[in-house]
Amino acid sequence: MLARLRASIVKEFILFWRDPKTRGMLLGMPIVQMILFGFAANMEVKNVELVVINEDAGRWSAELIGRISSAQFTGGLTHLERMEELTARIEQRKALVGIHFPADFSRNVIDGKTASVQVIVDGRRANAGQVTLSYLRAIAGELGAQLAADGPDARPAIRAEVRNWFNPNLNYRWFIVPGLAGTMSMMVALMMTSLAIAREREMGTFDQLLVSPSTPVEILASKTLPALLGGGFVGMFIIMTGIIGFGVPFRGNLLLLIFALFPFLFSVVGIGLTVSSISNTQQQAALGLFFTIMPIMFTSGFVTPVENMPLWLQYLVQVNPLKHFLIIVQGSFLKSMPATDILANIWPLLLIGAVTFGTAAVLVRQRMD
Amino acid sequence: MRRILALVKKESYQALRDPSVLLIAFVLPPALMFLFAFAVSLDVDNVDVGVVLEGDGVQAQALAAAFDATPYLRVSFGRHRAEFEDRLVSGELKAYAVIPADFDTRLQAGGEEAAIQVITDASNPNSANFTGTYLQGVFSGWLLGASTPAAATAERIQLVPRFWFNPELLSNRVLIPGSMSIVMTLIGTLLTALVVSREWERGTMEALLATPISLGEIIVSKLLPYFVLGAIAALGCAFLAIQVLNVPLRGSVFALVLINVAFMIPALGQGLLISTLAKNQFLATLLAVLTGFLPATLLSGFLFEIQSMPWLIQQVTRIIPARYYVSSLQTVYLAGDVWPLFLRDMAAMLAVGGVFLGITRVKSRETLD
Repeated sequence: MLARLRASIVKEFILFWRDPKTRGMLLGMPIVQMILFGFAANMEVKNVELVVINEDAGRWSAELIGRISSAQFTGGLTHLERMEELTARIEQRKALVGIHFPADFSRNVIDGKTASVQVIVDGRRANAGQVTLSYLRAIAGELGAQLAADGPDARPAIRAEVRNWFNPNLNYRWFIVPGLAGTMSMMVALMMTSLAIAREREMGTFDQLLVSPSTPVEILASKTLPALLGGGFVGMFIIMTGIIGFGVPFRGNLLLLIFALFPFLFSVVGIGLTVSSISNTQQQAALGLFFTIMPIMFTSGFVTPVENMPLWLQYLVQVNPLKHFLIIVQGSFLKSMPATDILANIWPLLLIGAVTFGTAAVLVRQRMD
Repeated sequence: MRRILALVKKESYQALRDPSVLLIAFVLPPALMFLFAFAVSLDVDNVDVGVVLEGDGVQAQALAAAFDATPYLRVSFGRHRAEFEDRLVSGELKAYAVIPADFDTRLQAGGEEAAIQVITDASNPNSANFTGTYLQGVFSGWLLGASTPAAATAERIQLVPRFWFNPELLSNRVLIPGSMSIVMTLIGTLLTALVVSREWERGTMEALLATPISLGEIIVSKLLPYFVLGAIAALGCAFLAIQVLNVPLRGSVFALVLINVAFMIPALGQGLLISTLAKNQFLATLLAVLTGFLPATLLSGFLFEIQSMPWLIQQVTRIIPARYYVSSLQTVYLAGDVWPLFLRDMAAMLAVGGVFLGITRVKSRETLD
């Protein structure tokens, strides 16, 4: 029996490789995803366009403007004369932030009073705007602290010190690349599972399989094991690339993480089987896959945190295997998550897998008659 | 003309009977919009944080109470840091603030040492930034209100922010118009590519070519129903956004209609081009997803800032019609009629559409190969 199984698995891999369609999909999707998420899509704020209206003739506005202009996140800082110009620039999305210094700014600083500056932010780009505001506040705070230290009171302002644990430089890549291990291995495993069965069904060879000596369990295994292996391989590859190529620190237990990959893929494969059991052609399977991957990705915490969702949705999302796996993989990379926490996230994966496999088995058996 | 109308009628019947058309045109758009209205959110809310109250000072307790009373935080209290470190690692808490035992004294002494310490879980850097900044904000707000000598050493330079167009800072106001670009891309590009390539695959295109109808007329008759479908979908989405999801429409309906029409042209053009180049459904689906859907989701600027992307990818986004669509759509909903922006964006969309249709024209021949 094992020999038969091994033969089927090898056959599956060959079939995938030989068919240009599936080869394209298997290679294309993960690579594109890697490029897009590894390089393009990020929540960091850089190259910000700022405009300034400076009604103050004193030295302190010039000082602050100078510091902002030379900050890392600033792409360009343009001086304008009138409010209408500022309004137009922001409305037309040519600038993200507009800063307006009142005429008494430097005077207030010298007098020791609190000097206000108006900062106008394009609310259409709220996320970037808020992050930029926090950067600007940090710069203003630094200058303010220096002023207080030099002044007659010589007392620096009371402050709260923020320490960003696990990722002190707020490097977005450290967050996304571990996540990619989850999404990409999931994609490959899903594609391999659902396309395999749909292809067989489309070509009519599924019936042939049923009359062969292989038992239904073996047939199922021969469809799912290649997906598990393929997905596992991709997952391990991304993890290694993350550590070696992208320089993401790995502080957890590598073996435990790789071990955790398999319950995750087990649940994913169950989903793939369910999708393929309701598709009759590869085309339908492809569409079904696509419409399954999207909500899974967006509700998993890969892009935006699960905690931001309304509570009822947060409960619903517990059935999303990617959500659990992301906690494991991000925890293993950055947080040196202990085994207890990891195991706490593994058992939901096994449960999801059991349910989806069960559903798929029922659906496939129905379809077979 | 009569021929075109007859074909359009046939095409419409065919479309309405096709389950994948119904799925993509009627089920997916509201599903997607709800996904982006609820699941994808950049707004920090219900954040689980901890507050470590190491001492019993009056001011310390007052500050702890202030944290507890803050609307967006779910606070759990403790006495020792160690309790919270584990909870940060497991993901139970997103941050914790430490109010040291000598807090009251530190306030009197001035800002030599930080008055409180905030430790964030920076495995998600974007959230950590928001949460850290938010906790700092609660602290400075409390400082200003507290009747302590500390109030005298408040910030020397104060930034007063104004968020234009989205003063409530609701991220879904920005994400929902963005999700419309995904919906319209699905209908305009994916659906069209799917349907037309299916005709090529099944050979019914050959049959059509053998009729007296010219290729140009065939193309028009294929695009028109999907244009109408797109218009209906746009209307439905707008209705959903405005009435159900509370996105304001501050611009004119005229501008909204114009912007939507302007986007349909490159979207349909791209779909047509894909189906001409890839005369089978599977490849067409793959291409539509890779070159239509993924760019509309990840590179159009509504989720990830284009300015933060590497230069090369920024240039690539210049030829992605979704980028201009999102820019104008967000503006017409949240800001109002900003015609210089609209005209610029519409010109870009029409230019890209023209290129797509041009290439399609060149690549389509009335022969079979």
